[in-house]
Amino acid sequence: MVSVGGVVERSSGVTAAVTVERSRAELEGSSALDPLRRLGEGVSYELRPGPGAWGTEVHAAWRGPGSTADARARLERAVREVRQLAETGEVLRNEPRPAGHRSRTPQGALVDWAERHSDRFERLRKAWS
Amino acid sequence: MRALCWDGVDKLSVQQVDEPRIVNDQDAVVKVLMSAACGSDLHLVDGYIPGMRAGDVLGHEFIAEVVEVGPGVRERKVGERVVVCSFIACGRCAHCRRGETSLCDNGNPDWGLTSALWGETAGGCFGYSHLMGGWAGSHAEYVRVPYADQGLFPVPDEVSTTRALFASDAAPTGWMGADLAGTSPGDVVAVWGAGGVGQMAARAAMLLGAERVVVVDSVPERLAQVRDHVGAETLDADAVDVQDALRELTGGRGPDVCIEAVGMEASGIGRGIRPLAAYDWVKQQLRLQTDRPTAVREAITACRKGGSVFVLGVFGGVVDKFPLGAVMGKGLTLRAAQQHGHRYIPMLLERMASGELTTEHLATHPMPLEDGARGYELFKHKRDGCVRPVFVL
Repeated sequence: MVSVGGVVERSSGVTAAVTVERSRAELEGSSALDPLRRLGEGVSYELRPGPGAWGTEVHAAWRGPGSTADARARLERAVREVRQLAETGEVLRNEPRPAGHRSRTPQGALVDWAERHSDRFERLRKAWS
Repeated sequence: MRALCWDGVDKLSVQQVDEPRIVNDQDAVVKVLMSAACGSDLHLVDGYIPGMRAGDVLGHEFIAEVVEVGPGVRERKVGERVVVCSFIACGRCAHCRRGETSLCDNGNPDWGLTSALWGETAGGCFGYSHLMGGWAGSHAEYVRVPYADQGLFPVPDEVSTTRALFASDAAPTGWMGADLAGTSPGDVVAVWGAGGVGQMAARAAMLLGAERVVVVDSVPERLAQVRDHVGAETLDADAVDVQDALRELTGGRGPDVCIEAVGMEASGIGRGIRPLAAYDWVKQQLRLQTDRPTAVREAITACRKGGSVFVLGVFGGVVDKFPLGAVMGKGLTLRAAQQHGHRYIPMLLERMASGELTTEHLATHPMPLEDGARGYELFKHKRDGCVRPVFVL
């Protein structure tokens, strides 16, 4: 069973899911699904109607090569890009952006690294449970 | 261009930085007219919000003029004077369509960081750390605004720039607290904190029909503003026992609605020995808890049975000695949120135009951007009656 918006491991690989504010008919055949298609044949996905007014659930599973951490991050990023493309038509970028002097400090290096790899942090939410 | 940057804990400077440009089709670039410091910015300055990087541009409450729009912008036009909602929302995701725009699924490109902290991704906010998207802030000459059709609100000609400025953040935040707490005609509403957000929450409660509204603080100038400009009652926490006074004021019941507008750096002011306030301070300094929930505890304790508590002050992590038993035992409704400004700003601008909602008094210290560090110093230490420094560009 895959939870909405979450990631769970199965013996066969890694899965990710998001809920998209679009109908299944709008999503099927849409270029919004390209981020998942680009991941190749090792990724499968399924569109399921959400309950009530919750649009469509996009469930994706990774069965391709690569480490589990890489797979999880790439799959999670891909489903979120699908949602953005379907809902807004573009993937939002926060760079380039204005900034003052970036002094070289351990904390600064940590923030830079965390931002570059923010897709790997999603899994840490499980530490609270 | 010039921008006020965070250089480290308690270190701010005005620097020359690159001008922003259109990155996504739905972006606009705006020229800032005024940008206010918000109480929640002090949490960044003081180092209590993780994810700040030296060189980050601060500021999220601002009014501006549109100078460039991307090819995907349909509604906004160059030359318009606009209020910019402090939160970045796409307007089309499930949460935006439900009016919960600070929870937008698409406004925070650094989504994994808050997902790790809070179990799901928070929305994006200008100038509020890399947790909230790493967006450059408004204490600058120009700002890039994503989803411009959703986040820019034209200002009626009859509303002054200073009045409209606070429709960006303080006014919708306060209104949301009173609204989502369920304020109803005849209610007694208590608000902790007489800063900009607390004053706006009090005014919102009055306009929503509350019979009595009382604001708790200990800064004389701020309490005077509440009486003179908002029209609410005040309790000086240095002069009275707040819990006793609220019981007396409500015939022993407690307020129907309690709104906390203080946040993670509550001073624990008040008469007599405050052991829990001291405990909070020590634990926060030792980083054994991230936030000081002193005012939240007071609000929960004061609230009547079956009443409603809304947390407007910003909290980022974990707290200790949280009175969950009181929430359960008194059957309280406890809610909190960052501001869902997109659903309130048009209505607030109309009320500002009609004179129902005035905010100019909050801008106690207008000053040029070059004085930004001094402005924050005055604001942080509440010197010279400073309620809000406003940088005029």
